[in-house]
Amino acid sequence: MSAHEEGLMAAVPRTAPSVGPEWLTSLRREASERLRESGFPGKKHEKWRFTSVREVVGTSFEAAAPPSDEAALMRWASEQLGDEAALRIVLADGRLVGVEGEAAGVRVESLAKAIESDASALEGVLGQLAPREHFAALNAALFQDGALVRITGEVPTPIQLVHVARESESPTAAYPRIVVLAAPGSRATLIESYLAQPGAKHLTSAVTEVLVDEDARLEHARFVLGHERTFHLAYLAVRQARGSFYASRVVTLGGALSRLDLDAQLAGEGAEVVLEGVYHVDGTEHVDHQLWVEHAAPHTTSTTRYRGILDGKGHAVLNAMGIVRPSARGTVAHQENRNLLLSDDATIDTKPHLEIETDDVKASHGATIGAVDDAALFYLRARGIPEAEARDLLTFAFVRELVEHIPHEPTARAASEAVLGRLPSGARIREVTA
Amino acid sequence: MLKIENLHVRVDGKAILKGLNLELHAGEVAAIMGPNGSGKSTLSYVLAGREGYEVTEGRVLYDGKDLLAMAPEERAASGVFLAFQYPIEIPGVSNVYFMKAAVNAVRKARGESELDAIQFMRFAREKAKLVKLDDALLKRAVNEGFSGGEKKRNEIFQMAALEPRLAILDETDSGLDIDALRIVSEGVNALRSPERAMLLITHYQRLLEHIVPDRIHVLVDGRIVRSGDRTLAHELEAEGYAAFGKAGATASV
Repeated sequence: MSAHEEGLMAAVPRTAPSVGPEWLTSLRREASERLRESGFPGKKHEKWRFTSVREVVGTSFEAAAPPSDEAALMRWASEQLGDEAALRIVLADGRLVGVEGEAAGVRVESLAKAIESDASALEGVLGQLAPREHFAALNAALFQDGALVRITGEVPTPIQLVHVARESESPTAAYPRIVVLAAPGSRATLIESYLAQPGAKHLTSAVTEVLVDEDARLEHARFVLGHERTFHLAYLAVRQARGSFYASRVVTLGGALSRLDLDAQLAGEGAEVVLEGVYHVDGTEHVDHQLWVEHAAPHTTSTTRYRGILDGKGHAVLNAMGIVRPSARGTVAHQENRNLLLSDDATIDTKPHLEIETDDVKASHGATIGAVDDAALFYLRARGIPEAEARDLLTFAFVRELVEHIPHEPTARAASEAVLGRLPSGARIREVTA
Repeated sequence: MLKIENLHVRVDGKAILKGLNLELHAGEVAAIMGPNGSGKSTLSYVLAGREGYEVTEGRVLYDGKDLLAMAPEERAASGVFLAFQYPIEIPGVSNVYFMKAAVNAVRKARGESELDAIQFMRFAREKAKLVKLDDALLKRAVNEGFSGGEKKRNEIFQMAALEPRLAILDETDSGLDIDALRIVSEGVNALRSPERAMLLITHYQRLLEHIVPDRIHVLVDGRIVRSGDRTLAHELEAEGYAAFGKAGATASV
């Protein structure tokens, strides 16, 4: 054992806990070892050029204690999302605290329990889809629990999964791990939300792995609502089999740092993926989306559409990479990123790009950065709408369509409300559009 | 109601309006006719308050107040309305929300109570009838995917909803087929009232067969070169703008 360690690395165990099957123990041991060897990413890493993790790495986060106030947490989550859910799974600081309701065609359980009772269901997925480095390795080394969502049929109601970063008095870290298995031909909508209570610095290092089997169809929304002391570093890794459809619809609002590394692999012929997202930064917030789509089979389709609003001294990063493998003939790949720049002090680093290794491809990519449209602004003002309100109305309109693509009305509404809550005249706009 | 005195306006450093004088009274419908480039659209934008128009001389009084000192939204709240030649498409904002925001902003500025969603919908449907704008168009995003005729009908719907005292209609006839022109004109005629003044800005006299003005002003090279009654339109039609040349002085018949 070396001398006293500080910062985040101090949390990484030197000996992995021997829980569950051997493959899992070795996975966790390797994650710790790799992390200790290579450390956390710095600016020299291509994917981390524009995002500094210095503050996160330098903070000594305590591992969150298991929650004891389950009922209060369930209630809090429900209040934030403002509805009665047919099926809601609530996690707090990386541990499952409760499941409310049930639905046909889906089974939900605590990941820790699944590892105890039926680890074979997880083999080949858990730790196999997500990358094995950096914060994904941190999660692999440290996760205690999370959720296993097994979708076996047509699920008639959205599956809501809410992670709460609990209020705390000192810096706290949570490592939720989610595994989603969508069986062949299944259909479901999954809504994953990351909410934070006010309090001290909080790190959520999350990993979600999703396997979409043949001809399955999964709509997966992801709503991240940060505040000035939240650090959200998440991985979402998806593998799609033949004929499957997967849509990720992301809304990321603020946070000291909110980052998503999304890897989607189109592994089976005819698979289709849609990646849509909305982000908003203000103050000194930093939001980063790294979207990697790999076309590894013929006739696969990907559509990436992200829109961002940049205000204050906020900084947003969007790196969309499409890789088309030689076998992926007949690929269609489109990437689009549009940004609304509201302040001279805000920054956007956007880079949609494609790496194409076959000739038989239809592809496009583009990014725009612009201000509020003067002609539209004048049109609204000429009808009597005050300038500040007109600006916010256009700003909200810029992202509204994508927010409303969230296939669950209450969550779409909560996300819209959250966007409006961040705009100076948002309350007035809520009033007039009610 | 409106008094324009010796108005000089530059756009991108180029003089467009060069000493325009015009008076408009409550209840009056006046047409401003002129060839392309004479300054018609500049006049309408300056009156509505668009940025990028530099007033170098002259003034505009609206009910005795300095119109040019007012922000566009203040002008709208005090009853100025511009029907745009090219209405703007606003994706993501529905027509209903847009007009509810506008009507309530104007009501608020006037110290009137705001309309709630139900009251507004009833109000909007009533106004929409005037130009045969159906519910589907009310609910769509503002002007997005509207045909040329639908856009112009939408402008007149907005005018009906905002109940302006001074309406400026910029080339409202452009891009309209004969049926759409009839609907739009009927809508405008229904809004004529002794308290309301209208300024019709047009290149062709076609519109004036449907909306008969009390007075016609001919705008050439940034100045009113001729003013007269409705018969002036026929004279223009027969002789063209060339006959009015670039003569300096304002003449009256």
